[in-house]
Amino acid sequence: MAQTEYTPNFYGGIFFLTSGALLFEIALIRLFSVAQWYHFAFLVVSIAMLGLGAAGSFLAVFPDWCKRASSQRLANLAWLFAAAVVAAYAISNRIPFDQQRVSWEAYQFLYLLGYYCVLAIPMFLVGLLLSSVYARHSQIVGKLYFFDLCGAAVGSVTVLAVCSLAHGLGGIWTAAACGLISSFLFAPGLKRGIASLAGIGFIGILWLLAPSFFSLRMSEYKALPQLLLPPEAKIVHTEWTPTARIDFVQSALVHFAPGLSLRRYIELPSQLGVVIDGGNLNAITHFNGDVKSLTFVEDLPAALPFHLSKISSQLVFEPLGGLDFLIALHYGVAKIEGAGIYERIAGITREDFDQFSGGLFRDFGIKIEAISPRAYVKKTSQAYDLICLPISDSFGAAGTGIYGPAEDYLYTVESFTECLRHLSADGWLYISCYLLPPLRQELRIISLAVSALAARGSKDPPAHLIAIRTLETFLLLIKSSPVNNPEIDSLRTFCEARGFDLVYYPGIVASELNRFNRFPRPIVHEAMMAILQDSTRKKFYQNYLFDVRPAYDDRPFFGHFFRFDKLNEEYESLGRRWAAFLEGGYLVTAAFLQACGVSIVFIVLPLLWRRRQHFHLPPKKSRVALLAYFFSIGMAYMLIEIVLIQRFILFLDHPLYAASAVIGSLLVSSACGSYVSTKLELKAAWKIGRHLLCLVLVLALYALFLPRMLAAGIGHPLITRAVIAIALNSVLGFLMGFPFPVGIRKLGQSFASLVPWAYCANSSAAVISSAFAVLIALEFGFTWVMMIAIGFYLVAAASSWRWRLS
Amino acid sequence: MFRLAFITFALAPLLLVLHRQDEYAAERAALVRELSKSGITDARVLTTMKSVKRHLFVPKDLRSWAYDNMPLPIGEGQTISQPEVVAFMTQELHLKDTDKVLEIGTGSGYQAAILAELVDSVFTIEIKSKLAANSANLFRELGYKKIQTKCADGYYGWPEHAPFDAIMITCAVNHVPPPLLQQLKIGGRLILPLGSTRFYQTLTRLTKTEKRIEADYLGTVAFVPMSGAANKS
Repeated sequence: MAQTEYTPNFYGGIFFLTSGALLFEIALIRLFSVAQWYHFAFLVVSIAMLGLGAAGSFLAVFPDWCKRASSQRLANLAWLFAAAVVAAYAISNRIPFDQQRVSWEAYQFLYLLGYYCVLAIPMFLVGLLLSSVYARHSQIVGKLYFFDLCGAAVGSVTVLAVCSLAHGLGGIWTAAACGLISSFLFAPGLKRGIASLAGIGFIGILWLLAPSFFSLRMSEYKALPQLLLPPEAKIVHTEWTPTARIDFVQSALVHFAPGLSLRRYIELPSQLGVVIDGGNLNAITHFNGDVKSLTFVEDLPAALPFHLSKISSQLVFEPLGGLDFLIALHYGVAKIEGAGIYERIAGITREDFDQFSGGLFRDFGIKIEAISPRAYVKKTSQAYDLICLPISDSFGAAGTGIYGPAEDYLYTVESFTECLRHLSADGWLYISCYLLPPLRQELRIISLAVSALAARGSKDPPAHLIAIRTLETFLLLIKSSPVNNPEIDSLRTFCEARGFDLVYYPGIVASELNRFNRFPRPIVHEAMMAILQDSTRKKFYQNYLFDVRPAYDDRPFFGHFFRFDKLNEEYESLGRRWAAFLEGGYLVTAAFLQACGVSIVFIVLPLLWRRRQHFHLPPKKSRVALLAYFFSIGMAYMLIEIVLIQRFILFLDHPLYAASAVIGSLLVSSACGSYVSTKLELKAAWKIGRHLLCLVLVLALYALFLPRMLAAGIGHPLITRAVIAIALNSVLGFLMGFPFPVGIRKLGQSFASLVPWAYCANSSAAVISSAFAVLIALEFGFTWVMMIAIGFYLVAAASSWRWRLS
Repeated sequence: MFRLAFITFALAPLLLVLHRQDEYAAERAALVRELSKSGITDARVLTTMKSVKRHLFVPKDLRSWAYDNMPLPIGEGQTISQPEVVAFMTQELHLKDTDKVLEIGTGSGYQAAILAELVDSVFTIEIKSKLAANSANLFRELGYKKIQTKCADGYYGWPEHAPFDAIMITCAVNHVPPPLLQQLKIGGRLILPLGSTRFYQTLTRLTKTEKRIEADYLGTVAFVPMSGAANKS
């Protein structure tokens, strides 16, 4: 191999390539979340990442390929990666797969297979390049790994800046550009320079011209395309933020008034649809500035608290289009505040639709902060007469109400407890969701309320609760003090006039149930009573069809209801329609199983092949130890990364900040650890077992004390918290950066041709662990994920002692 | 003898045509038996399900499945509903033969054909022009004179022919369109798959009384939402 490979250009090539790979991965998740649904993105991208493992497997079967890995070949691979990124996106965007159609078009699975194949190619090319470089230069792998991780860190942070550009395709174009820069750096020269420049020029043209061929194709069953059905409907504003695509839509089909009474067949004022990531419909309501003219809000269930007591101050979480603000204004609330991560909707409305919205976000003294609701209640010292949580379907639950794998820290016992702490003496906490039998969301809200009231020291939680039903929604009010008789009288009057059904208040009688919107039996009331009573609650949780136990911060999955032990009954209760299982925890299981299956093939196949070809292989025990070592460190690394991101979401106010701080600091510090490992003699470095035990000890300390440390630091300014987060992650990351490069060095000394195989095991494990972490967290919580990660490091330590390669 | 042979030969093609036209009669009868076991008790509805030829409303290549109790794709990203759901929704509307019914979401036209056998007049609206044209042609071919079709957005109903005794929405909706409530007679029924527009809805029957709208939840169903052809930018 040419000497030029050891120049800064060579390392730069690796840096840009891994930057591009990370950019591509995260951009794909973002784009597929918009085009289809988050679950689908998770499923497809995890398989695409297995392209890395496939490359390692390929090189283990054809080791001569590594020997021919010249600078020119590396440059060609990087260039091909760039081309593959553009082609993979373009082709996958045209594959007519639709998750919705799977239930009646079996050939949709072929399209899914098409996705897998197309999207795995760019990652396969990256894997080929990295594996061959590691195999040929195993003695400087620490340094190589340093640039690999630094590139990945920069890519993962850059993606936040570029994803929102070029109609959401900024991440794709930048990933391709990174590949081209990498190509040039691997083999600088006139021809290569021209080829790379031509490629970058082509990408620049695509970026600027935004040809329609590359426009993101959205599932026709998402809310946005459905709103665009009427001929006159149109998108009037689109904005890509680092975390979401926000569309403002003008359409006759926009109708957002959850639970509106049908008593007067009211036509709503005209509304402008606000759609996040193509789904989650909300709306800006036309407002002429006269708060008294908003009479339609009196027919909404959200008006109930104002009929029960005088509300002077109100806090709205995730106000989005501001319907809750309109209600508050109509009822004369003096102090109105809002907090949420989609504050940009208010900003766009102020800038472009101020007249339509009657200056709602500008003229009425409403204070809105772009911060996660949990962080807001943590930092504020105010007490409110009313705190409104967003209707849960908007965030946690998707269509089937089983949007399992997405964490939601707003609907946990700790969150409800915190909200109750910020209520005034007679204040109300308002929670609602869409009704969707078989009952699930409704019951979890009730279980959360009971647990939160108990945690607040209430001796009689049911005395604080009111629950009603409309035709399509369920509403729970939690009062900081016991509900009194005048309030009950007002409640009855309010519901009677609007045709809303009473579900619960202290002292409710059977004749008041199930009157206007009738189930065959008053099932919501019956289930609620089972949860409210201490004597029946535990048994109800055990026997109920779905898991409706309260969610906690350690297991923050409000939308996860499925129980594996009730699989058959759930299938029956859903009318024998398996499509519902496409969402929720079962899809994660599918992702996990398919990742396991494909990984086993990639890992086992090369060994079988090599044995057949009579290649020299280490003894069987060492092979197992090798596999266990690289697989375990891959699993452990990713599990810890996922746990840390979760732990820091609350600490840093925003999932985006948490992901950036954790991924960035962890990768950079791991890169430093990797670099330092090269400075050690291999003999010294190979005391890795002790190092791993040290790491296990530190991890155990983190598992024990991190939640408390974060809770203590939460009141500090964001910048201080960010520094604390980076410092805490860096200690771990530094130690976690040692095992892989040291292992590769050791392996390269005697079995260099097995390095790609080890790389395959390691990268496959990283993919498996992302689904595995969610599966464990869904059932047992993130503390257990951390414990399992520690277990994997222990396995790695034990494996390192069993290694006998010489 | 010669005369008999002549008659046989002359009638054979006719018999063949008749046989081919109703080659699914046995399967249809089997389907109706299945429906009666699954809770469809209205004799009029069962009789109608036995007489209307569902295979004429599904694509030709899927006709062999026409009398299986399952939904089938009809193109344009839409499906023809499961016969059990068709029968159940029809039964739960409590129709009289003098009723005037509005259907939102014509699809292939099967549901409208069932309704036409039971009531005085059927008005059906389809937003997808291709489906609307196909179903209108089919109704003409099959001689359904009681059915009037329109290609439009069903959200606004058909005010020119209002009020209706019954309204049926056959696509998933997440709220009750107020115009449809206004076009319902006092005592009229509106049946719709209400809830999420993805995968699952609650089949809901609304009854308009002098004082208010009352609702009955009838079970879970899985209707396909309306689907758009493409994004507009």
